[in-house]
Amino acid sequence: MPNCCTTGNSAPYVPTLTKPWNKKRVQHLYRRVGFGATSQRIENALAMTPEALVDQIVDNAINLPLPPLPDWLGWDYDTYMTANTCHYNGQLTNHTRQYTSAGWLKNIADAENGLRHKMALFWHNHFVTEHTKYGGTHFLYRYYRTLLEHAVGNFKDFCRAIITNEAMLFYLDGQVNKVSNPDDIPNENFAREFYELFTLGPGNYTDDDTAGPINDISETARALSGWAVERYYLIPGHWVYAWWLPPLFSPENHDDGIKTVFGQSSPPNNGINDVDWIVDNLFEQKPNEIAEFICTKIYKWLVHYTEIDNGIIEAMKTIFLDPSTQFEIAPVVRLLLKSEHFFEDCFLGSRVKSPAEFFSSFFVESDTSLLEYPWDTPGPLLTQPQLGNDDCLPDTYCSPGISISVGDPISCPTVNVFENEFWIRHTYIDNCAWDCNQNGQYIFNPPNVGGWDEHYTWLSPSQMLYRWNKLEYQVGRISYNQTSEILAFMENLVGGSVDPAVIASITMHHFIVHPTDEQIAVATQVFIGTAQAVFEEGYWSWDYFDAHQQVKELLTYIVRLPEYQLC
Amino acid sequence: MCNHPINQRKGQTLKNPKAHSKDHNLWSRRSFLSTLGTLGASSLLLNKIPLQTFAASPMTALLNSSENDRVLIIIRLRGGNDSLNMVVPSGEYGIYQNKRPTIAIPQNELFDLGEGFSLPNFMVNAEKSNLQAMWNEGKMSVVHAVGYPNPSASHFDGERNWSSASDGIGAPLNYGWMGRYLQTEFPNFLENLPQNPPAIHIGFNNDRMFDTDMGNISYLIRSLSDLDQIIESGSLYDSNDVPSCIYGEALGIARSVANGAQTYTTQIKDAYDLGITSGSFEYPSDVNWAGKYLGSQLHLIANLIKGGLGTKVYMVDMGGFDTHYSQNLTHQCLLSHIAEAVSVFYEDLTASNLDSKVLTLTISEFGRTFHENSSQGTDHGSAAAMLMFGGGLENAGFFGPPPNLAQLESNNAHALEWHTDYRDIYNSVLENWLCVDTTLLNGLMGGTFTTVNGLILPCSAIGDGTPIGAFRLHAKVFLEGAYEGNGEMRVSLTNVLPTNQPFNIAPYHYDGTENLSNVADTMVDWVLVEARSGTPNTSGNRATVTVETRAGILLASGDIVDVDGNPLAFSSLTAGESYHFCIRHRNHLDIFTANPTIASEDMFYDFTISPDQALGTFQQKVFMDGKAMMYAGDFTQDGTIQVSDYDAWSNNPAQLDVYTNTDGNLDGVVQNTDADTWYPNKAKLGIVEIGF
Repeated sequence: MPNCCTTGNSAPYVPTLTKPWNKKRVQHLYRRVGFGATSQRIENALAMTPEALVDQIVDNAINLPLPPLPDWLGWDYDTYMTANTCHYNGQLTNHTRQYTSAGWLKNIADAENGLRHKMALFWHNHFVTEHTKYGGTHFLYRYYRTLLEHAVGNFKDFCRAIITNEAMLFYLDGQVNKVSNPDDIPNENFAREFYELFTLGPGNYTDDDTAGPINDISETARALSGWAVERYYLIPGHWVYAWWLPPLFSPENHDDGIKTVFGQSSPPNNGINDVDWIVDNLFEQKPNEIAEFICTKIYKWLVHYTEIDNGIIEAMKTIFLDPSTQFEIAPVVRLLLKSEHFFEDCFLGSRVKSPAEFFSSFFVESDTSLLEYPWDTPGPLLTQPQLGNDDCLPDTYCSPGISISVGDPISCPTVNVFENEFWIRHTYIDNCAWDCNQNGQYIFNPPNVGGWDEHYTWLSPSQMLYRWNKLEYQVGRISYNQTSEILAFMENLVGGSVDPAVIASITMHHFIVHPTDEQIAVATQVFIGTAQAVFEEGYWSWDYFDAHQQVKELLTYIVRLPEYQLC
Repeated sequence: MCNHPINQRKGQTLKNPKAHSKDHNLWSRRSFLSTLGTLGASSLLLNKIPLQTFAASPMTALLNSSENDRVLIIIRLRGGNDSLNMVVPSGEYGIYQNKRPTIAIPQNELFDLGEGFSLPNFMVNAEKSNLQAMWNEGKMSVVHAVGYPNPSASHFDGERNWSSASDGIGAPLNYGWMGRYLQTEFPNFLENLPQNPPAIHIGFNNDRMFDTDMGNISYLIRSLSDLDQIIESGSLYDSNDVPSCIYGEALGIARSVANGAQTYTTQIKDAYDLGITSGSFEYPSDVNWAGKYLGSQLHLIANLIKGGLGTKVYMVDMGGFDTHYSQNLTHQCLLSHIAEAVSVFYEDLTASNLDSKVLTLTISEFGRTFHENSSQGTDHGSAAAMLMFGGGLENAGFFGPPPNLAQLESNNAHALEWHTDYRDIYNSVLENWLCVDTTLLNGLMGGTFTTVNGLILPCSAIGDGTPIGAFRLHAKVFLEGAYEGNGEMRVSLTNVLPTNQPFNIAPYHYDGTENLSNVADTMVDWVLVEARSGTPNTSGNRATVTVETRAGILLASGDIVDVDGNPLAFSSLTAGESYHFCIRHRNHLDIFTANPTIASEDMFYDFTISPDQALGTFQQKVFMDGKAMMYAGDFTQDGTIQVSDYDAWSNNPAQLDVYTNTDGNLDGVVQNTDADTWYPNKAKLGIVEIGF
C-alpha cells in the first residue's frame, strides 16, 4: 500500500488548524520514543511546542548518565562463585538476565528519559546477540552496557565497540577466529554479518560468490582474528572463561599479513590496530551505504515499517554524513522526530505494538507505579542465602560455556554486596519482562542474528490470546491491589466527570488511537455494568464502592479490542 | 402500552437475523484461555502474513455426548424484581391493595391461576403470545417466597450471593455455582478446550456465576450485534471494512488475527445457520418485537439449540427492575416482555419438539417491599416469587409455602419472608435437570440442600439406555474434488444428480429407498453413512460391524442431511453405546471416524477441522485454509487410489453432463482436470475399516 500518506517533509512540524498539536500527536510521539505517557505528562507536553518537546526528549537521552556499575561486576572469581552458589542456588546468571530485562523496560517507561533506553532496545535488535549462546552474567551486562552507552552516540564508535564485545565475540564466533599458522582459515561469521546486517546491507561488499576466495568478507575476518575471551584454568582439567577480564588480543592468533578490503590495503604488521583499521576503512569507503542502511532502519523503527519515504531518508542521511555531526545518531533521531513527516495523520496508530510496548505501555498510560509490589512476597528476595552459611553442599554451577564441579563444600561468608540490585523482582515491570519473553520478545534472546521481524509478525492468534489474558489479569490485579491509585488516575483523566458516556469516551481516546462511536457506546455500557440504577438515580460518584470494578471492566474491554494492538 | 422499548441500548437489537451488521467493534471474552501452547496449530496465509490458527481440539467427552441433551436457561432480572405485582396475591387482595394504593394491579385486570394468586392480564394478553397457554399446558411453575437466610438488600451483595449460592451468614462461597458445576464437566478445560462453549452469557460483563478457579468459563457475548457479526461472517470483527491507508491495513490484520483467536465463532455460526432453517415456527417480525431485547436474545438461543450447538447453560441479562419510582410505567413493560418472549420462545421450541429439553429459570437478587413508597415505587425487599418454564417441569403449578399477607401485616413486616431457599431450587436443577451425581451435590452447592419434589422431571425419567426415537447425526465432511475454500464446496451437479440414492450397486449394495422430490440448490452429491459398532482395527481385518446404513445429502457447507433437509437420523442405535461412522463417496477415499460417538439424540462429528478426525494416518488432505477434506481419486471405489483409477478415467476421458465416478472434481464433465485430481493422491491407501 505505497504512498497513501501525505509525504510531509523534514522541516520541523508546526501546528496548524488541520494538523493541531493535540493529545493524539503527543501520544504518538511518546509511544514511539517510549511506552506512552500519562495524562499529566500529555498536559505538560501540550504546553510546549513540538520542537521544544522533541529537543527535551533527545537532549535528555544524550545527557542521561549511565547507571552505576553493579557491584557484582567487580567481584573476583571466588566472591562471585560463592555468592552464586550460596545465595542464588546457582541461578545468579538467570536472575541477572531477568532483572536487567525488567530494569530496561522500567527505564524506557520513564517517558522523560526513556528514549536512550528505547534506542538501546532498537540496537539490541540490530547488533543482535543471544544469551543462550554466549551465556554468562558479565557478558550479558557488558553487552547491555555497550548498547546503552552508544544508543544515541556515534555509530562508528558503536561499531568499533561491538566488534570486541564479549557477547558478540562468542555469538558470531570471533572467539574461535584464530589464525595461528598459515593453513588456518579465518572464521567469517562476524565479518559477514558485520557488513550484511550491521552496517551496509546485502550487496555492498564482495564475498566468495562474487569475488572468489579473496574478498571483503574473508579479508575482514583475517583482520579481526585473534580476539578472544581468555580461558582461565581453575584447577587442572577444569577451566572457565575469564569473564572478569576484558577480551584479549593475541598476536599469535592473529593473521598479520596485509588485507585488502573495499579495494584498500591495510598497513603492514598492523597487529592489534587492524580492528581500528577495519572500522576506519569501512566508514571512509562506504559512508553513503552506511547512511542509507542505518537511517532507513531508524526510520522504520520510529515511523513505519513499510511506508518508507525516500525524501525524509535523504534528509536523515544528509545530517548523518554532515562533517560536523558525522555518524552521530542523535541528530538523525532529532530531525526525524521533529519533522512534519513524523506527525502526519496517517502514521498515528499504524504500528503493531511489540510485546514490550503492549505490556509496558498499559502501566505507563494508566499511571500505575511500575515498582509497586502487588504480589505476596514483596521486597528483595534474594539477599538471604538459599543454603545455610555453614553447610553449602557440593554443587554444580554454570559458568559461561562450561559446567564445573566443586569438589568440596565451600564456606559461605556473608557477602555484603546484595544491595538494591534486585529490587525489581515481583513488580509489574518484572511481569512485563516475563510476558515479553512468553509473547515472542525474549529480551537478550532474539530468535536469530536477524533479530525480531517486528510489526505484523507480532500478531498471531496464539500471541493475541496470550496478550489478552495476561493484560486482563494485570488489569484485575491493579484494580484490586491499587484501587485508590487507579481510581484517582481515572477520575483525573476524565476531569472528575460522573457521566458514563464521557468517562468511556475520554478513556477510549486515551488508550486507543481511533476509537469508533459504536465502540464508545459499548464501552459506556460496559462501564455502567451493574450500576445502571445508580447512574439513573444520579448518585454515582468516584467513591462508589464498586467503581474499581467498573474501571476494571472498562479497561478490560479496551485492552481486548484489536485496535489496542496498534500504536 | 410499551411503544418505546425500554432497556434497549444502541447496538443491541437483532433487527434481522440475517442482516449484515457493520458493528464490528464488540467483544466477547475467552477468559479461560490462559494457557494456549498446548493447542495444535496450523498455518495459513493472510496478506502474505503467516497466521497461526488453532485446530479445534478433537475432544469427545464433551457435553454433546454427556448423558443428556438438556439445556438450562437463566434469565437474570437485574435490580430486584417486584414479584407481588407479577404473581399477585389476589386471595388477599384487600391487604395487597391497602399496602399498594397506587400501584396495585386492578382486580379486574387479573388472570386467576388458582390458590389465591393471579397473573396481571398484561402477562396473559400479550400481543404475540402469552403465558396463559403455558400455564394451562403445564409448562410454567411458580415458586413462592424464594430467598435465603440473612438476605442482603444490596444489589451487588445480592447478586454475588445468588451467583455463588451463598447466604448472608457466612463468607460468600468462592466462584460461581454454575462455574463449579461446569468445571466438573470440563475439569481440564484450560488444556482441552471444549469443542463448543460450555456456557454462553449474553450480557456486558462476565458474571460471577460462571467463575471457576481457572477463570470465567462462560463465552461472553457483549451484545446481539456481536452475534450479528458472527452469524453473518463467521467472525467477530469485520476485517474488510476498515479505513484506507496504513492504519486500516494494520487494523484489518489485527482484526483478522483476533477473529482467528475466537475459536467458537465458527461453531456458533454453523449452529445458528442450521437452527434457523430447522423447525416450522415463524417468529413475529414486527418492529416492536425486535425492540424487545429479551425476545431477540431468546430467539437467538432457540436457533443455537435447534442447530445443535451443544451448549449446556445460557444466561441472559435483563435490567431495569430497580423500580423505586413510577414503578408501573416500567415494570409492566418488563413483565409483558418476559411473558411474550418466553412464550414465543417455547412455541418455537415446541414446533421442533425441543420444549421438554429446555428449562428456564428467572432469578433476581431480591424482591421488593410489601408496601409502596411515596413515589409510586417499591424499595429493596427480600424474598420473591420465582418463575420456571419448560416441558421438563414435572408437576407444573405452585411450589413452596405462599406469602401470608395477613401475617405480614400483623407483623408490620416491610418485605416478604422467605420460605423456600433458592439454593434448594439450584440443588433441584443440578440433581434433576443436569443429572449431577448426588455425591457431588454438597460439594458443588457448598452445603446440604433439598431437591424440591415434583418440581423438575428427574433424570431417571429420561433413563439411560432407553431407546430414543431417532439418533440424529450432525456430520460434516468436505470432498477435495469440490472444495473451494472458505467452508464451501462447488455445486455443479444439480442437473445430473440422481433422485434415488445411487448406492444400490456394487460394491455398496445398499437397498435404502432414500429419494429426492427435488434437488436442493446447495446439494453437492450423495454420500453413504454407515453406523458401526465395535472397536476399529488399524491393521489386519476390518473389525467393526455395520449396524445401520443411510444415504445422505452432502450440502455445499459440508453438512450431511437427510433427504428432507433434517439431520441424518438413525434408529437402530442404543443410547449410551459407542459407535463409529464410515462416510463413503463414489469417487473419494472413504473415511472413518477417529473417535467414538456416544449414541444420543444429537450426535456431532466434524471431519473438516483436522485430518486427525479420520481414523488412520492422514486419511484426509488439508486444504490451504486448514480444512480437512476427503481425498479425491478413488474412482474404482476399492479403498485405494492407484493406477487402476487412472485407467478408469482414461477409458472415457471426455464426457459432458454426466454423473459418473471418473468426474473427479464433480463438475459434470469428464476431462483432464479430473485426472488432475487423481494425480497428487495416486498412491493413497485407505484403512481396513472402510472395506466392505
